[in-house]
Amino acid sequence: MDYTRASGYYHHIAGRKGPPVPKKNVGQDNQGFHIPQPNVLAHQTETPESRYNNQDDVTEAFTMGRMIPPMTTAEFRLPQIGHDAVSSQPRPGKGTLPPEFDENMIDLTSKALMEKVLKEHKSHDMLEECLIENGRKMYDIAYQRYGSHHENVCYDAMLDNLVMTGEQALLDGQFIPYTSVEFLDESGEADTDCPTMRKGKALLTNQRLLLLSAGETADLSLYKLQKAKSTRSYSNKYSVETFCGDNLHLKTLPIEGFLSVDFHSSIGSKIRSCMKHWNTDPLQVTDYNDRYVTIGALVPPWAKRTMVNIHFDPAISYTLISHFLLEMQSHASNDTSNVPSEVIKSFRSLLGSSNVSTSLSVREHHGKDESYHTCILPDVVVWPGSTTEVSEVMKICYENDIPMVPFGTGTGLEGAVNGIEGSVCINVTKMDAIIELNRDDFDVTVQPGVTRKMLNKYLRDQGLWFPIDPGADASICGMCATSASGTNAVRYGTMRENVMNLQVVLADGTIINTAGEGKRTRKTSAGYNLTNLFVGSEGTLGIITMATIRLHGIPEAMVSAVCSFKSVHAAVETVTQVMQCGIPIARIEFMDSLTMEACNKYSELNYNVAPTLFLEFHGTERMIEEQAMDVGELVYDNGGSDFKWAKDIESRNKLWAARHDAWFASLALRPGSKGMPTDVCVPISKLPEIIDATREDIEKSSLIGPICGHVGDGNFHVILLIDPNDEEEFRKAKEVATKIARHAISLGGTCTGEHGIGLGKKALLVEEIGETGIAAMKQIKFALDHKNLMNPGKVL
Amino acid sequence: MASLRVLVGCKRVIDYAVKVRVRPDKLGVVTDGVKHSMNPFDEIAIEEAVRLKEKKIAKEIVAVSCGPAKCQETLRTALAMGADRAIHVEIAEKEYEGIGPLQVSKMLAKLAKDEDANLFIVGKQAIDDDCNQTGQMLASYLDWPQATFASEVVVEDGDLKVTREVDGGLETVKVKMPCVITADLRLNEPRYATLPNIMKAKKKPMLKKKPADLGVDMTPHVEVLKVDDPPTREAGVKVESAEELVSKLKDVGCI
Repeated sequence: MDYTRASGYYHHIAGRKGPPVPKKNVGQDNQGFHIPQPNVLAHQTETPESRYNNQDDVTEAFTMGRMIPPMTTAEFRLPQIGHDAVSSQPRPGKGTLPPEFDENMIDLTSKALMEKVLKEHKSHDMLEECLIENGRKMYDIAYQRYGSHHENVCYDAMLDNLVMTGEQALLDGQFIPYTSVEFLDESGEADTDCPTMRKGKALLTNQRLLLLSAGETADLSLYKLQKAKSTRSYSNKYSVETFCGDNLHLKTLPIEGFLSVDFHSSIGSKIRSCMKHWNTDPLQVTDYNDRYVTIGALVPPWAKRTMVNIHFDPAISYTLISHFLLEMQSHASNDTSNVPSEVIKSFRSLLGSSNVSTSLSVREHHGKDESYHTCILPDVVVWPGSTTEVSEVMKICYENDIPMVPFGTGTGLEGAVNGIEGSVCINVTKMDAIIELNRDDFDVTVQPGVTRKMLNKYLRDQGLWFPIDPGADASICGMCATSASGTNAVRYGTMRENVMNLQVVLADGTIINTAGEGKRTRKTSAGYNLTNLFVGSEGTLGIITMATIRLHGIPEAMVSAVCSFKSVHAAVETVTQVMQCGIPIARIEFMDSLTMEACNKYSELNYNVAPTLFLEFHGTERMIEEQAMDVGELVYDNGGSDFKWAKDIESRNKLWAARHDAWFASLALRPGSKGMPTDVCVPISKLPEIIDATREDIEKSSLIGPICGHVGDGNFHVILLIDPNDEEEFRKAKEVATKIARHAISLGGTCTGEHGIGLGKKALLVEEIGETGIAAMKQIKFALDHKNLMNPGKVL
Repeated sequence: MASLRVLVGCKRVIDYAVKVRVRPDKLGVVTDGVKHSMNPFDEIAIEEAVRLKEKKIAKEIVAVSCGPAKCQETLRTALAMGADRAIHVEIAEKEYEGIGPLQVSKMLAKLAKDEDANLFIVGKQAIDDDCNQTGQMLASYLDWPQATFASEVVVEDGDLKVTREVDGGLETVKVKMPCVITADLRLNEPRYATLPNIMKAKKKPMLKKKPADLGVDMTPHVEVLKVDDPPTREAGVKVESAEELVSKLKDVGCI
């Protein structure tokens, strides 16, 4: 469907903004006309017969409607909102109204929609009669039963009776109470045609969304409803909208006209967004109680593109909201794919049919990572086999304004690869060649499908390894894109320090090498550091198709140790001291007693249930001995005890099993729960302070939240265990997580040390970087991806 | 006791992480430009030998490999892991294609006698031909006892107590030396070669021999008729109900 065309026209009808239109109309001064306001419609509706009585072919839909000025659609094509800065297309002038109406002006899509609305939805009169009839009945019943007018009874019964034959109420006929419904036009300003509806209830059927508002006092409106016949007023005849009395207001929105359904809440995540032509960027939500859905809908009678914000009643459950959203989404459009079929066809001819998939199970697999964020399906998944193919795919997407989401192993924790409705997911795992190994220079160039375990297997007889270990078997290029790190970072650094060159395909298909083609030096001061611009960009600037990374020699000897402490503070103090002594320890990991208990249960181990440090030393035999002695002293000074040492690989692996399984062991503390991980990182000297404060916060919140982490870097995680269906708990966990993050930021730390921003930490990024810094980031994003097609909605 | 001389067989095979492709003539697989490495079970065999040496049970470890010139890379890896010296029996690429466990075990047997070995450890099988024959044939040519599929090896009163992985569980056998052991997956986790050890390995001695030196007849006894890719998996369908499933199963004659 060509929404641009439809909207371009209707926007003109309702639009009140934009640069002046070129005066192409035959000698007519456009400024002489004005756009019909609701209050002049009465006048307008009287005139159609007189104007069009000779035009037999004018359909009922049009004659009943508002007057439409003539103008070819081409002239009124709107530039896409959000892309204004790059568009030179003309827009209608403020207050302009072309003089003559012509049927041709209405595009087929809108026409069909309107006809359907007329045919299938109750006519205005019937609606109204139904309302009044039911209102009267309910008034009587309520009065008899309660002696007053119980709001729920009245509402429910009224809405219930409005379901037409052949129409089905969804959600078992449950009502969704809302506090208000706002109607915004495409530019995000209040729509004067549709006044905000106050407190009321919504009912979703398989054809319509019924909104019934009664203002603040339902009783009064019911009372007025009885007398409605005499006082009623209409906005216009063709609107599927009814006002009864002063307050009662029924509006029906045909579900077929829904283009997008986005959810906003303090959690900040969007459930679905297909608004590539239409800016529905979520507002920064600060009010924790305000949860609302933004429906991008073609609102009758004119299928005007409108954003309908339904603010939910704070009392209703998250489960109900999510069912409501899912039902709307599944009934919203018969067209399951927003990516045009011609585009999919061109993907198939480019990549071969087996490398393009629109099947639901494949899309489900590509709609989420390992985080708690809701799965959002991409429309189509493609598997290019080379950089050139990636570039070709992206060129096609760029030309057709289709959002793109790169996908590697899907092991992220912040929803950075979650789909976007109407997007193409570009899975790069089929590009899995190790391009060039330079053993003597300690570097290797890999394609994005190569995972770190694959690489280490490949390197195993070369005496080299790639030490960065985020736990999961993530792809190297994915680790570049998210600036990953893990247990070894304290010795070997994070991805930022270990990437030498990247090959990136930009939004328009341009292939660049961030340090120049084939360059692989240990240092460079040539120009801007483009390489690190893409490290941590999470696919929002381009797709990484090749990475040259640094390798390290496999240590000659490795020794691991475990020791327990009486208190968290003592353990963390030890870490701080070890780091401050400059001991080149390879890993130093902290786990609190709750995590230890979980690991003992989960992996059938018998560690002390006490705050514990896991240590590892890399180097030659002699170096290790020295380091171990130094650390041992510090441990004993801090009251640590019960040292367990492991030297050979089997026992080391066994020792570390506890740490590696910590995530799943923690989840098993509360079966069926989901983990919300925090990922703050602070300067090492601030570590004891923030861990103490974090423990207090968790205790106060009565949530279960084991703490573990890469304390050597000042980075630690709290895994908050939550029931995914309990909105209250979710909110509580989010509050605790936010509090910890804010605390870290105030101590000169960051809200995310290694997980990234993705969907979950966008608001915190603003707090951390500051408005001006974010503005600079946005400018960079705009410069590289001015159409906002690269993984939109993530990071910024 | 530190008196044992341990020989370890190392075969150079296509790396286990590589996706193997069939040659156009369908008589073998593509080996050109494909990463090769030591057969993983042979790595385990080397590791076990090195551990015996670290426990001062073995005195010397000799890594042996029969194959084309590139086998020397594999032997260098074995040396980097801790073998003391290596013997390479060089076989021309063309000739190597035709031989199998029969010829290799004959060569290894001759080497074992020449080197006066007390223990021969080999991987239980190579991951390229999956023969699982070399160790057994070797024991028979040498007329030594054998303990195959070993998951644990301990020295007890001068004999070896070997735990074997058998179908029903574990079997423990005692074998007198000299003997042949074939290494199973869980015997140990092989170490990685470190950079200093790789450097040192370059200087360790490597003896080169020809099959003729060992008096082994290289006539092929097995002819490869055809090598095929495994059949590709075809797309399935989702069924809506149990009835549909049953009717589909009936259609294909499964029930």
